Amino acid sequence: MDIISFLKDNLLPSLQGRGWGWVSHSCALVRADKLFSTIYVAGTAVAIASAMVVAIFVNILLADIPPESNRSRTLYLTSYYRKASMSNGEWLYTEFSTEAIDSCFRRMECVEAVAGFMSYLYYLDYKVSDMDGQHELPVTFTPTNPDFFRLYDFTFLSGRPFSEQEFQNGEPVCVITERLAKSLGLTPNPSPAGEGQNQQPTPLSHGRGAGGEALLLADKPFRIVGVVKTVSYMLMNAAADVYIPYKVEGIGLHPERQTNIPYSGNLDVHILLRKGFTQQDFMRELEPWRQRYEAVASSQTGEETGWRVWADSHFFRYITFFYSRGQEESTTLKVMNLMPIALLMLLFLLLPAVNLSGLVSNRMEARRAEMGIRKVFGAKRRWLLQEVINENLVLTLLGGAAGWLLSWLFISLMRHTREFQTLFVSEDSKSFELSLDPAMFFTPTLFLVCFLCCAVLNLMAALIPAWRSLRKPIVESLNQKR
Amino acid sequence: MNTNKQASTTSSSLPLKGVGGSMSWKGVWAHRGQNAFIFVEILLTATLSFFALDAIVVETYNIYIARASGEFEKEHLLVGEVNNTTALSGDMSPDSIFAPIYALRDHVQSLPEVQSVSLVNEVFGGRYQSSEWDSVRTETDRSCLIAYEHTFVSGEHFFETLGLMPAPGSPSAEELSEVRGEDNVVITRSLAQALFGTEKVIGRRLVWGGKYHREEDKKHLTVCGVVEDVKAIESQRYFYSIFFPKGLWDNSPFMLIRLKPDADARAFLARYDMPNLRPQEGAYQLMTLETYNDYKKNHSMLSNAHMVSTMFGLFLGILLLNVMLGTLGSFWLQIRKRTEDIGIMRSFGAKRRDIFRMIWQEAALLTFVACVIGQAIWLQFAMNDLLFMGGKHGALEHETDWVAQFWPHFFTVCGIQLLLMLLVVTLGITIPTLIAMYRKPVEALRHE
Repeated sequence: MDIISFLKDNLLPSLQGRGWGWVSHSCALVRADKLFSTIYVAGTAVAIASAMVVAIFVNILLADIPPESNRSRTLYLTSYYRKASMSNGEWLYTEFSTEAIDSCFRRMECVEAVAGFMSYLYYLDYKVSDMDGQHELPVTFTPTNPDFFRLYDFTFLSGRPFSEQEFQNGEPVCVITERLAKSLGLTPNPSPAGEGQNQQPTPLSHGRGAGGEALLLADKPFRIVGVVKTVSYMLMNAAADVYIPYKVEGIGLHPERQTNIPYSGNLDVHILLRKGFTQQDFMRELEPWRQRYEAVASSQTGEETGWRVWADSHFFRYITFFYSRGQEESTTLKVMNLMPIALLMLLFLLLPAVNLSGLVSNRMEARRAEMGIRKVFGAKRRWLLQEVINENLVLTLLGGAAGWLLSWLFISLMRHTREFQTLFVSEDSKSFELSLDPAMFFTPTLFLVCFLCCAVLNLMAALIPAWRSLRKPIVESLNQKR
Repeated sequence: MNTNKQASTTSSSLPLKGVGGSMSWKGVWAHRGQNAFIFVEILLTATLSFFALDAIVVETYNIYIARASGEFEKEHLLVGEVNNTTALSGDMSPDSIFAPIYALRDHVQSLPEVQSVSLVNEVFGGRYQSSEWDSVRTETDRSCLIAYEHTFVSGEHFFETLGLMPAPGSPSAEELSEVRGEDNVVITRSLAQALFGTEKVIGRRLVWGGKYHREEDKKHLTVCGVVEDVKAIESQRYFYSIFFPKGLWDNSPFMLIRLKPDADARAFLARYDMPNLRPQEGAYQLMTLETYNDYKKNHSMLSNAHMVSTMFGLFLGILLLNVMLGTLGSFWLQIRKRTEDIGIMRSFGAKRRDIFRMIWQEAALLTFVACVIGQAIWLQFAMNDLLFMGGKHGALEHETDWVAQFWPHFFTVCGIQLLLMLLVVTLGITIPTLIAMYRKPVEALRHE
């Protein structure tokens, strides 16, 4: 809606100039010289497609796409500890313990939810089957806590997330994806409207007797409490086939680390900030907690203990051209980090622009006499220039639309390749499915980027040849052969 | 008759006189207004695509052309993963845990199709290959090479099972497989040559590590054997490898199985690769069984070299597609304007191939000049270490192959780039030129 108002208020009046005649004129020109139009549109489409592939890729990495709808409020924590007696006092990497989550992060005011989980990448070789032991399938699973379902906005096709009570009791319950449910021959039962978390779940059914609401994971029965819409592995943080409480025992999960460093464990922690808070607010609020922890840990262990936490926002977790971990995040730094991407897109537009300039130059040569006559009858050079650019814009927009579709087609085809998969998933497995979501391609931001690319390309391609042609003296233009 | 033929030859050769180099220059110059754009595009493409093409050329050379002399036979080599099928209980001492694994190995060894079996902690060249590299030098020379580290389990027939051949003068594969001790190693022939200048290096000492890692990680090692060169990493260009003898790390090792030359690997797999048919001893079973090639294909991740080639290939492809579209459009419009000229040339006896040659020469001249200028621009960057060397390989200051030498490397890539550009431009001009060539002279002369 904002984009439409912007176009209506600012861009269209300038395009209209002295009426909409240029649109019909452009269409007539397209029809008159089909060869030129075809080559021009093809050149534009390749240019826009190249630039849009980059833009779409960045969009998939950074935009709020369900279930990772809260990326702009998410912080990814990394932790290091140091003890005088260990490793010559060097800082050592560690993940977090449940104590760090419960005693520290959950108590912070700026924090809305703290998702602690064990990455599925550690559990690639696990298999699930239905309760009959049939339909054995390799799966990825994420052991996590209930806050995971607050941070990530899953679409529940039936059932619900596991509750805090189930989590604390270490009950063997799980949430599975629609894809896995179908693979196991189970059908999700739609949730009644307004179903609450306390309602008894009846998420699945099948026609083969008992056991439809449970599965075997690593030979342990798990009760299925919810079925969520399958998440594409392009959304790396939320994607998995099965989500279980990490407090479940008996399947080799070890959320705690056997050290005497209380906050050191095996859990990745992602924080959902309350609205209005930033990474700096989080770091400021964390500082007294950190100092207190260091003091307590040092007095308990009898030696100096250090603890550092770094929090990266989603943007700086993935775009790190000019960013090193721990650096203070700012808008300027964000812009700087986007520059290489913008330059790459500009490069993809620049070379075709030279090529298209050549085409426009050829056409302007052919139209010199026409331009000469119009100048004789009083047309100003500025008007003619604007008209040529506007006419060209019609072709560029046609090419832009084709380019956007091409980029979508390209990514749709490429997603099945191992090369593309490697960009998103750092482990090999045949079970990863990089499905596509319309929110990855068709967003107002991408539309604006595409339009801007077209406008820039159009200006780069048409301005110089049109200006050169229109500067020629009228007599010379009129004397031109054709 | 003879006179007629001569006349015809003279007539048809008339336009050829003008198709030489000077005429091409004139043709290019006459349409400089239009040619300038395509010239700039080719120049920019040549400059910007040089590094991408350089990376593709080097990685392609590394992966497909740089071959190791001692590459082992893979058709009869199988890989299995050993693991326990039921929970372990009772005596948990290493001897008790490993005893059924050794029994399983002997069971497999006793199968009639099997030539030899080796338990290994990691599959050479596979997913669990640690592929660590470090510096290596002799005890007397301070200059270092970079070599890859591999391990084998002592006494497990590793070298004969994998098929690594000993270099002349080195102990046999069976003896090499028996090498034990933390300080004893087996090295490849290239490494022996690079470090000592000879492959007869048994008993010589070398120093492993220390340059890139901490000083205390430095190890003094004794060479116990030399094997022919072998490639563990697909993009390896210099075959500098060191094999360290180790014990079994844990109770889930891999099993390399070398079948007899007359055995059929697929038939063997068909017989044993089912959960209830795979060899089993006590709690342990071969959980998976695949050919070595399938194992590498299914379990190894795409290498950085592969990803670099793919990404740069895409980038280069886009640039070249633009050049092709540019040439196509530019020359199509130019040729359309020159239809009358072509008609006149055809009516004066010029053959179709003369027309094609004339247009191609103009395009080729334009491409050549633009490409050379673009490459000269990139030369400034290349001289500042922006030639692609392809990861950690050997010690580049010592190597003598074309990749490590600046000028051969630069000119090789320049040549390939020029050929590629000419190919793309030729493709671009083909359709418009063909249309012009096959237009009848009368129609061409009427064209307006």
